[in-house]
Amino acid sequence: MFVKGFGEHIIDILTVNPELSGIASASSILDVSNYTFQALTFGKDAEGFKHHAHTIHSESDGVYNNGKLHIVVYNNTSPSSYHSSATKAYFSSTYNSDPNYPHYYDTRLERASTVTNVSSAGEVGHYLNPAAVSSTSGLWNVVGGFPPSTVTEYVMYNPTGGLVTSGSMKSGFFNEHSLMNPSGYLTFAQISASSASSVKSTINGWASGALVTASGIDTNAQIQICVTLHTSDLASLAAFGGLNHIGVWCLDIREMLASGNVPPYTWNAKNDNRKYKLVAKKTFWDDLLYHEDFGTNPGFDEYLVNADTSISPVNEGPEYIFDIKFT
Amino acid sequence: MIVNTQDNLGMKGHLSISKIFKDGTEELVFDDKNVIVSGFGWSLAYLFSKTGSDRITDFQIDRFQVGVSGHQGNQVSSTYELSGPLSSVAEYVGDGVDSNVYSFEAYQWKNGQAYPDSIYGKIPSSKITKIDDRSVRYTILLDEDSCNGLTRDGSDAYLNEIGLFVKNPQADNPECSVLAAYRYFSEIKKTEDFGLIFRWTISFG
Repeated sequence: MFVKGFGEHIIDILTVNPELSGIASASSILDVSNYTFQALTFGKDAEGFKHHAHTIHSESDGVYNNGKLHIVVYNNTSPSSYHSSATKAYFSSTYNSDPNYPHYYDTRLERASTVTNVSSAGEVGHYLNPAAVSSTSGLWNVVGGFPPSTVTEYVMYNPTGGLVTSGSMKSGFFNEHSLMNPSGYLTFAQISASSASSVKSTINGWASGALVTASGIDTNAQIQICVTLHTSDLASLAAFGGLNHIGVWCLDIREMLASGNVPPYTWNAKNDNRKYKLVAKKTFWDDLLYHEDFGTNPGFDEYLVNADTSISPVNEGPEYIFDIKFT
Repeated sequence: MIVNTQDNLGMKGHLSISKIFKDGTEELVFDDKNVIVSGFGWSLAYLFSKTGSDRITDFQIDRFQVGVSGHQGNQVSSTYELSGPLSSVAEYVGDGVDSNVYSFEAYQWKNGQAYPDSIYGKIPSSKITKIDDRSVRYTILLDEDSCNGLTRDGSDAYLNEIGLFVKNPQADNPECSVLAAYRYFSEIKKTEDFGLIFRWTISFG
């Protein structure tokens, strides 16, 4: 649903002073690229940020869980998969796992605090991405939600401490391509396209971020927002409790100008000084990343962590498409 | 999932029309909601898909038309033109000596095609006012020297419709505007005895 921030954004567009075009130092404020969709974020229930793979099992000199993604599975069926619902059920007496029902006045994905067990990492209402910068990348395995641009290890245990599986995850796609800032904002590819499939080959398979495509403008004033969660990011998010919210953000031009931050607002994953405003969100009652074992094939290892090399480009996961009809 | 933007956002318009006389007094003659038409959403789709103009000013509402053949049936979101817009600059400004309206000719996007020879009145940027975070008001003045003596087929013609237009969302050259909002109103015979002030508010939520 669209939230109030979108209305505010449209009013900003309709009232920006056209006379700025005559002022060389300010004319770039009128560039359309400042006003389009700029970021996606991913979220889940607020209390979930203290459960799932966020749980701290050990700590030594600031290294949590031996530096590995530590997963405890509570599901009896599909034991080599991670069902966030089973963890929620197991802790249901103390853990309210319902994601916020979306509201028009929302300014973030979850209204309650989403602080993790590492409170110094802060909170923004959705998954953070400490792996984006070296100073905090060591926290990614407990803060979440996206793997660093290096190979990492994961271990999966049952509730009694028995090892279920372990292995390596390849680099996080979003961080490998510098597509997400430390606050968890995934940038958009600054291109125009008629469909996602038409540009995958030219942008190295989503390596420029989320996409806006324009299939159906003249018939229905309809566009699409498309994003793919690649296998490493997918596996990590699943382990951290899954995905219940996706947020769409524009730049908060008014806020940035008021604070002296003038265009051009170029993307820099490691040092992003842009301010964002939530304009739309979609909430799912169930975890979008639900997966299961298939026969003897482990769900987490086989279908989330490891790439299916038969798919081109390799390392691609599910694609989410939002159709927006502006009529 | 498909999201319908206008319903979702509570996007709506409100128009008031007042006669203003030479002594400064105003007489409210119309006050009602209006229709945001599909052209506005079409413009937004071009903006957010980055397939239109690269200047944000091309997505602003900066012009209007008034007309003499409006009817209730036009108050639907699929409306893309006025029924009987004024057809010449002279109909807006008379001899052009005293009128304060700036009128000009440009293209208009209608039902998927660009048509030449549409006549518009300009809304000065100073008359586009942000009322609050989610509302903007357009103030249009047809002064006592504008839009007078209108006739159709030898008979007097009365103003009874108005539309707001987005400037040039596709960055066409020459400019090609698209209808964004429409309202039919009770007939007003415009004379030099009074001006008309249209106060048009578009708001969200």
